[in-house]
Amino acid sequence: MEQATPPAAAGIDLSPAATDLGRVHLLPCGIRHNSAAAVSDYFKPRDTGVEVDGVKVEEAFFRGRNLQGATVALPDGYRGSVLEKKKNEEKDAQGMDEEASNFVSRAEFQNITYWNHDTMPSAEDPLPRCFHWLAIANAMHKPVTAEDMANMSARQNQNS
Amino acid sequence: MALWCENMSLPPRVLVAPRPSGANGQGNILLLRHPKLEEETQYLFTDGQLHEFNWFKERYGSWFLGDYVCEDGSVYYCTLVDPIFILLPLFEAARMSNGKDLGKFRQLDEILYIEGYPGYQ
Repeated sequence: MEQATPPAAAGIDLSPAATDLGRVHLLPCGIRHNSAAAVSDYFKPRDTGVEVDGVKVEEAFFRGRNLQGATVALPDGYRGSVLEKKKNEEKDAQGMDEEASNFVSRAEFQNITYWNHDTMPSAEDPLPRCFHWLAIANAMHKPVTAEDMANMSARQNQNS
Repeated sequence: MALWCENMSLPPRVLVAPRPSGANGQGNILLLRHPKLEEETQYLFTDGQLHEFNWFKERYGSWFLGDYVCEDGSVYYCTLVDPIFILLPLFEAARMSNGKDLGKFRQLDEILYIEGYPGYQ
């Protein structure tokens, strides 16, 4: 059943029609630029063979600076999307709510490589730590099923 | 060269969200009151579940998204939120209890009608 949406509702379309991006890099510096660029021709990460806390360290150079990075896979059930904000022209023409923001997924990715400039990547880096929340939130907020309840009470009975 | 980024009028945003279970990934952004901060907060309703938005940003950062450079190095991520957290403060307020008076029973649509927040409907 299709749910009726109010006309000015904002939305996000995450339908899996978009391109797979391949590699996605988070750089430790600001680049004042937004556009297509031949990233994969010039930015060439390579394995260093070093492993810290089970994290494989990669190495790359950007503007002559040595960067050390690691790849984090998104947890099960999650997906990364690159969203474009859509201007809703029909609505604007009718003078309706122009604030409504609609986003459409243009491309997808399954893992992120983040790069550090001065430090070796480790599990303590901000990005992997931030991704802990994805798993914790699921544990905290996922609806409890009847099955979960049955398991719980069975375990409690065992203990008592 | 990357084709996906052609004709993009505004810089893109990066979002990590639960994978939709079906082919239809359409979700609605709802404006609800944050249970603790009591401020207008955006939530995502998709796949029959409510999600909150989180935002990760470091002081300096930019993206290489495939063959695309994106200045804004932040990432939004959506995680499940149990609707009970959002609704409890409403229910509490709707009781209209004061002092010894325990409050009243009220109709659901009356409780969920909050001035300026059509999102609850």
